[in-house]
Amino acid sequence: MNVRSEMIGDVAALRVDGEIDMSSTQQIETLVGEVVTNQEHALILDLSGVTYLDSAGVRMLYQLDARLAVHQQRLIVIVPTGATILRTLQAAGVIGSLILASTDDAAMLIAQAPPPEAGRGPNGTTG
Amino acid sequence: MALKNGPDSEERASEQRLRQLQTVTDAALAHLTVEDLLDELLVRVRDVMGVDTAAILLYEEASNVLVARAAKGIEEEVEQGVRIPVGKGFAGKIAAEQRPVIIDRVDHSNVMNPILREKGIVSLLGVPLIAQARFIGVLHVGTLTHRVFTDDDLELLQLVGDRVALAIHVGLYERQRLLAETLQRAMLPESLPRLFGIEFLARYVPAEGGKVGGDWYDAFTLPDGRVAIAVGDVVGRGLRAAAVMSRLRNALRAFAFEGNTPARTVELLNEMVHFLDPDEMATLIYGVLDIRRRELQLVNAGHLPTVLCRQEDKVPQLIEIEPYPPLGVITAMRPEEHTLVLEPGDTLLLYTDGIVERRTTPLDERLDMLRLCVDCDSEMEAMADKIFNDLTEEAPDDDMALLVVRLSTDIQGPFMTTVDADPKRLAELRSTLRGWLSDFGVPAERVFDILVAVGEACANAIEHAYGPAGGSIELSLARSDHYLEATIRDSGQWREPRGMHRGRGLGMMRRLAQTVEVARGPDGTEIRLGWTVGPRGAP
Repeated sequence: MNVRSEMIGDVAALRVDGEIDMSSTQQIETLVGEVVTNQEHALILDLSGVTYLDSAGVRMLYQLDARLAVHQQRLIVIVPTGATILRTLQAAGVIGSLILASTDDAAMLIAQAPPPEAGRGPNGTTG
Repeated sequence: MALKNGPDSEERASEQRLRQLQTVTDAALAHLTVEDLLDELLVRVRDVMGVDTAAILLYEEASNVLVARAAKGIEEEVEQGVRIPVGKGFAGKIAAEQRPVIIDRVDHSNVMNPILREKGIVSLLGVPLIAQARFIGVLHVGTLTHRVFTDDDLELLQLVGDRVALAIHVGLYERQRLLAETLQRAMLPESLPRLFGIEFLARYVPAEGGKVGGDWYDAFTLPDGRVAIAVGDVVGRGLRAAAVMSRLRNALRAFAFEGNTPARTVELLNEMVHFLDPDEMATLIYGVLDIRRRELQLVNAGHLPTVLCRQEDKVPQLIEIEPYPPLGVITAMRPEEHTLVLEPGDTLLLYTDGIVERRTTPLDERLDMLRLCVDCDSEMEAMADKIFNDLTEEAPDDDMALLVVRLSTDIQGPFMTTVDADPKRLAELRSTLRGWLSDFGVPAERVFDILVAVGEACANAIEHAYGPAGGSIELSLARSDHYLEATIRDSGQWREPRGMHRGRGLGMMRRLAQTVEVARGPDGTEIRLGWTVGPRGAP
């Protein structure tokens, strides 16, 4: 697995390639801490290059979402239409409870939208 | 029957009343329940006949009694569930002789039912209800004052009775047939076991006109991993046979599940039928197959011989194993199992007599026709098609069930690998698995599901089976004709997941694999994941 940090427009982003399992989630979680400053209002996690994702990966997504929500920051996950990992996300019931975007542009639009009300996580998911 | 000559006006009046009744029967059929229909009919009968009481008793074949099902003026009959043996008393006499009976004055000698006497009924007239040449019950009317029932009264009641019989027949028997069919369908397994190394095919066909009988087939996995197969036939037709069948089938499952040998299971079933359903009889062929040892233990209780086609010589044969009497015939049966050793490709056919028994052709000839349909090289669906095509040209008057069992021929694997229970080894394990799946020709769209489900099982072992000292995980993968099985073993002490968002793995496995079996023992945990895949080369 390979992770690199970038900016998509003015939003902090992590782009992941390869396979995500219990051996690689820690690396992503550590990087999130380095990349996301207190000034950010969102983090885009681009999984377009991910070829494998299991429940350890799903668990990480929920935990990141909850961690960011504490600071009123949103997690936006990019999963392209037709990606194989959608199977995992469907099976885990993630779709509808995390913010998913299919492209960079869509992720940007969501990130620029007004922040959610204080005290409430994105889409009501706080962990 | 033609009405006898009487005054024209009277004849017209009764005809008119009859038409009135007719409309009720026709209109009511569509939406009334049988009970409501009978009640409605009796109200009309009372009006038409000018009597005080009217009652319908329906014949119960199983116990040879008449049961009061609807009554007007003597509602107690139904409330008290009056049951009258055929041949006894007034209604019993009508049933026994299947002809009308008139009682001019009721007394102890000619009426058995105390309700009729207590109500103060003086005169009685009753007719048998016959629909489609079948006796289904008795309709009787009574008066509280003395009345001389005339031949005209009798003929009118008989005409009414015929219509009532038809209405009941359609309403009641149609419902019974539907119920029996529903019951039968519900009792047949929804799906046959999907197991590595064994292929199943089953069919059930009701008799002509959708009539059900007591045929059943079953195949299920026992707790020790062996597979039970059964084909049976309860003698008789209709709802009763279907009900007995359902009892037998459930009892068989229960006895087998308890760990009884096939012989003991059949012995217990025999005792059960003998004790609880003494009037019933059923034939059964029952076997337990140990796929790993390729050993099939069979017991035959009065059933027709099984057909076996061996891959070795490809000559289908009737397996004449020692036949014991059908279930319920003798008090104590001490059967012994007959053991067959099967090889890959060997094909076994279990069936019921509806497939082979025809009045026009000797049984041996029919058995031979059936035998020749069994071919270890043909697709099982095609084989079943051929059996129904070749043997059921005449519309069957019995239901038919068949079960085909074949040991898989096209077996690949098992491929095995053992790795340290370390998260860092997961990627390597997936890469190995990808290679195997490609060798097995598993279609790409299945690969991801298999990778994730197996990955979850391995991650489970890493997280929950071992402490910090670690251990190892053994992964094996094998494919038989239509089935792919992955087995993940650890030798640790499994513990419940801790923390938030944990324990998601099993749910994921269940969603991504078609079958998931988890066996936890003191020596570790074994997870088996299964998928149906096309035969090699097919999508």
